Amino acid sequence: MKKPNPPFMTGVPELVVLRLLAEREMYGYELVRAIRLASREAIVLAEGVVYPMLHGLEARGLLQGRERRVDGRNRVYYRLSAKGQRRLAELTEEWERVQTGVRSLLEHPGHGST
Amino acid sequence: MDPREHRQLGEQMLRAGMAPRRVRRMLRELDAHQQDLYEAALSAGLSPEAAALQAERDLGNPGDIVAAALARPELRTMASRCPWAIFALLPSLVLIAGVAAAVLLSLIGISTADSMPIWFPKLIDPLFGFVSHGLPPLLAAAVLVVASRRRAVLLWPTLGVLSVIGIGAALSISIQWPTAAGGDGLLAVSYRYGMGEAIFALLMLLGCLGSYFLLDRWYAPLRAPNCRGGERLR
Repeated sequence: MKKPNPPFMTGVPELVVLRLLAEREMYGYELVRAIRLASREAIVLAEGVVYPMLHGLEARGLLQGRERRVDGRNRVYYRLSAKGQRRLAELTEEWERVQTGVRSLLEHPGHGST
Repeated sequence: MDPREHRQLGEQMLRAGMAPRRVRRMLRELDAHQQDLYEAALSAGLSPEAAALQAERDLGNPGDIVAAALARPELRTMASRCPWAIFALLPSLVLIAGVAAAVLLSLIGISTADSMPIWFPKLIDPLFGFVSHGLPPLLAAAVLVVASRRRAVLLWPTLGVLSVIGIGAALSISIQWPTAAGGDGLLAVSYRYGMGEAIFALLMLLGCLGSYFLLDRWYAPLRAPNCRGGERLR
């Protein structure tokens, strides 16, 4: 049984998808595998749910989808648009800020007391 | 996903306001994904039955997929967000624009009557006929087809159909070309309702419904999700 992602993961899948698609274009199945592999199974997306997310990012202009026939099967390959590159930079910065803050809090919780 | 779940998933996404083209593409992607999962499970040594079950389980619950789609307002089309504009207002605006374009064309013809080609007046009369009597039922049928494909609530499409038919039935455009060089022509655009116009509106409504059923039938194969629809995995 796969362990579900914790609730504080909201927003993380978008960052992860944009980051991976910044490397190279991928189709849904390939992307889910790549997320699992790159995150060492820490991030596990419900496989079917990745498509509403990909379509949503495409509708917002962050991704570009292109249908291609590969090995007799139609695949939709997604890649990052210029707007997606900018969004990735924003999200990465935000994530690093939060991560630094949470790490500092976990390591030195006493610093917050007055 | 069995074929029933597949159909339901498509239907729910359409009702959630997603564009039919996007729904069809997403269903195709989900099908291909399930096929990939199935093949991976087979390669891992599972029996075909166990692999099919595993693939179905890994793809996830169709309810979760719909919930994920519903949580994304950006997937909703303009027709779903502003149905009044697309189904009720836009057809009337297109009709009015068509009438305006036809009138403008004839005015250009009248103002250049001396150098007007001989075929020009012959073109304008049928154009007026089309704009006032042909375009309204066509627009109304298009409203019905689009609304039905997008599973729209009937209120706005009904208002749109009634308004274009209402405008079209009462509208009359006629032109009298100048008989001599430098003479005057006459362009008349009138709008009036009587018993004749009401009967005409009814006939147009019937024409529109007829066109709708023909268009809908012609469009049916395109409307159905163009994918295997949860066929047995190979």
